[in-house]
Amino acid sequence: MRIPVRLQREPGIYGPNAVSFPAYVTGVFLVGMPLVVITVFSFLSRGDFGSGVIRKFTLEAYRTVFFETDLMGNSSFNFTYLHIIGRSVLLAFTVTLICLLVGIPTAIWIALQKKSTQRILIALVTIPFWVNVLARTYAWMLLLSEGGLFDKLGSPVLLYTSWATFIGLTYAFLPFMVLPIYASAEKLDRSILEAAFDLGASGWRVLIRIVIPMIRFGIFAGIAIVFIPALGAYVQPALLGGNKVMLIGSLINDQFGESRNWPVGSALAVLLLAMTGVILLSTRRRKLEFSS
Amino acid sequence: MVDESGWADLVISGVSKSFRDPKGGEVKALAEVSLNIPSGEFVVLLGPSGCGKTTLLRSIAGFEKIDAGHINLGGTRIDLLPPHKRPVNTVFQSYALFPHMTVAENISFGLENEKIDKREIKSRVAEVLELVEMSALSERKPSQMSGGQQQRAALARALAKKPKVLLLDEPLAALDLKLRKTMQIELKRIHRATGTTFLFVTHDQNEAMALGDRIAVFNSGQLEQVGTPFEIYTAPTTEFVANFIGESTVLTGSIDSRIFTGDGLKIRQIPNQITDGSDKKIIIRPEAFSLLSGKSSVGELRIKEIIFAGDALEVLLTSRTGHEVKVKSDVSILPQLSVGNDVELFVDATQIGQVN
Repeated sequence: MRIPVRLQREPGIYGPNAVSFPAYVTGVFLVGMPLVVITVFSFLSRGDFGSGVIRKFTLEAYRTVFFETDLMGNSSFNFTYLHIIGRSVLLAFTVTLICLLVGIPTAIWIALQKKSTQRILIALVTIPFWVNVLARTYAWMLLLSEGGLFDKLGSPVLLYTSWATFIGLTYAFLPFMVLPIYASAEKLDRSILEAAFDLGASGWRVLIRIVIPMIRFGIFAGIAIVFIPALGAYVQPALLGGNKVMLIGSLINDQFGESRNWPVGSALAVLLLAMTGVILLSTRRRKLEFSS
Repeated sequence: MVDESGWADLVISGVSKSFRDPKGGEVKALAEVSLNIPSGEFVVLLGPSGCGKTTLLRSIAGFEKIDAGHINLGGTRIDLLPPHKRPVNTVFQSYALFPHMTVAENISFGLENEKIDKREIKSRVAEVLELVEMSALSERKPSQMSGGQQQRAALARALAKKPKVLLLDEPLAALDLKLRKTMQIELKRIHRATGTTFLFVTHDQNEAMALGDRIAVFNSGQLEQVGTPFEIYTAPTTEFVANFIGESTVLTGSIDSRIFTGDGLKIRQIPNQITDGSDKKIIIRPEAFSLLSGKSSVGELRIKEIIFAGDALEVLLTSRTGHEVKVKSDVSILPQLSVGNDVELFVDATQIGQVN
C-alpha cells in the first residue's frame, strides 16, 4: 500500500507532537546517543591502562582491524578480523536461509487454518518469548551436552561446536521469521489462490508464482529481523559454541573485556552497523522496485 | 473462439452438498439438484443469498466436494477431478486478479500452465484483450484500474483458457448500476462471440432476466423452476418463483364453475387449465390488474398506498379480509386516486396462473 505523499509530509498528522514525545526520548537517548558514543570512541585512542579511551583523535582502531604491523614496523593487510566477519556473515546467512525454508511453509500453513486454530498456533510460536533467552540457551546446553537427550538418542555430542551455535541461533530466530510472513500470508485473499488453481496451476506453481510474490514484504521483513541480530549474536556462540570459533559478537565483547581495547571494539561495532545498514537499504530498494 | 469439441453439455445429476454450521448442525446447501445445460447456452442460477447457487457453481469449478450425485461435462465425469484439471474457468465476484502481475501477465499465467508456446500465448492474450476491449490497458496492474476494467480483465483471463463452461460468480455485484447495465450488454455480446457455455450466478432477478437464455431458480438448496425468462415470468410454477421474479399477488381459495373465491375476493372467468377444487393458489401479476376500467370486475377495494414510479403507477389495495393486492396501472389515472378511498378493480383473467 502506498501512503499519499501529502500525508507522509503533513507535520500535523505524522510529525512531532506531544503524544510522540516519549518515542523521541527513547529514540534520542536509547538509540541515538549510544550510537554516537560508539562512533566517537572508534576514532579515539586507547586509554592508559587499557580500559576506557583518551581524547585524542586517531584512525588507529580501524587500522588495527584491517592491518597488522610486524616488529620491523612494516604494515601488511590483516585478514584475521575480516575472516571473523566473513564467518559471522556466513553463519547469519545460513541461519536466515534455514529459517526461511522452515518459516515460509510454516507461516503459510498457519495462515490457511481456521481463524481459531490460527490464534492457537501463533500463541505456540510466541511461547518461547515468555522465557528468557539465556534460560532457553541453557536448556539447549542440557539437550546437546554429553549425557543429554540428543546424546542418549545416538547423536554425536554437539555442545561447544559450531553446530550447537547454529542450532541455537536457528531455534531462537525462527519465530521472528514466522511472524512477519504469517502477518502477510494471513491477509491473502483465498479467492486469489482459488483463481490460480482454477487457471490450471499446480500447487507448486501457485506457491512460487502467486503466494511467495504476494507475501514478499513479510519475507523481506523476516530476513531483516533474523539476519541482523544473528550477525551480531553473542549469547549462543558463547554458551553453545563455547566461544571456540570467534564471531563478531564475541570479538567485540572481548575488545571491551579481556583485550581492553575499547576503540577497536567500537570500530568493529561501527563496521557491523555499516554492514547491517547496507543490507537493510538493499532490501528497502528491492521493496521499491517490486511495488512500482 | 468457438469450442471445437462441440459436444460439451454440462449435466448435473442428483448433486447434494451439506455444510457443518459452527454449532455442529448440518446445513443442506444443495439437495439432489439436477440440471442439464446444453453447450453454448447462457444459463443464470438465480436465488436469494444462501440458496445454494454459489455452492453449485463452486462444485462445478472444483472448490467444493459434493456429497452425492455427479457432474458430467461432454460425457466425462468431472466432479472427482481437482480444480486445475477441469476444463471450466471462473470469474470471481472479487475478480481475484493477481495484484503483482499486469493484466497481460494475469492472462498469460493461465496459458503458461498449459505448456503452450510463447508466441501462441502472446497472440491469445492479444486476441482476448481485444474481445473485452482492454488492449490499451494490458500493461496495467490491477490496482491501477477501475472496478469495471478489473472485471473485464478477470473475464479475459478466464476466457483465454477457452473453457468448455465459463462460471461467473456474481461478477457484476460490485459495480454501480450504470456500469452493471453496460457490462450486461457486454457479457451478452461476448457470449455470442465466443459461443462458450456461460453459467452465471446472481441474486438480482432483473439481471437474470436480462442475461439468461434460461434461468434456474434456487431456493434453500432446491431447484424451484428452470425455464426461459418468459416462462419463468409468465408461468411460475411455485409461489416462491412468483414472488422472487417480479411482483405478484398470490390468492388462496377455491375454484368452482370457473369462479375463484378466497381472500375476500371473487374472480370470474378463471382459465380452463386451472382445475376446480378447494385450497387452490392462483397468482396474478400487477399488470394483469387495472383500475377504474378493464375486462372483468373484481369489485371495490380500499387503496392502501400509491407509489408513483414515473413511467408507472404502483397501487397497493387491501381486500375485505386484509389481503394485499398489487396493481400496476397507467399513470393517467393518478388524479382520480387517493389513499383510503375505494376503487373498482378489474382483471384480465387470461393472465391468471396457478402455483403449487
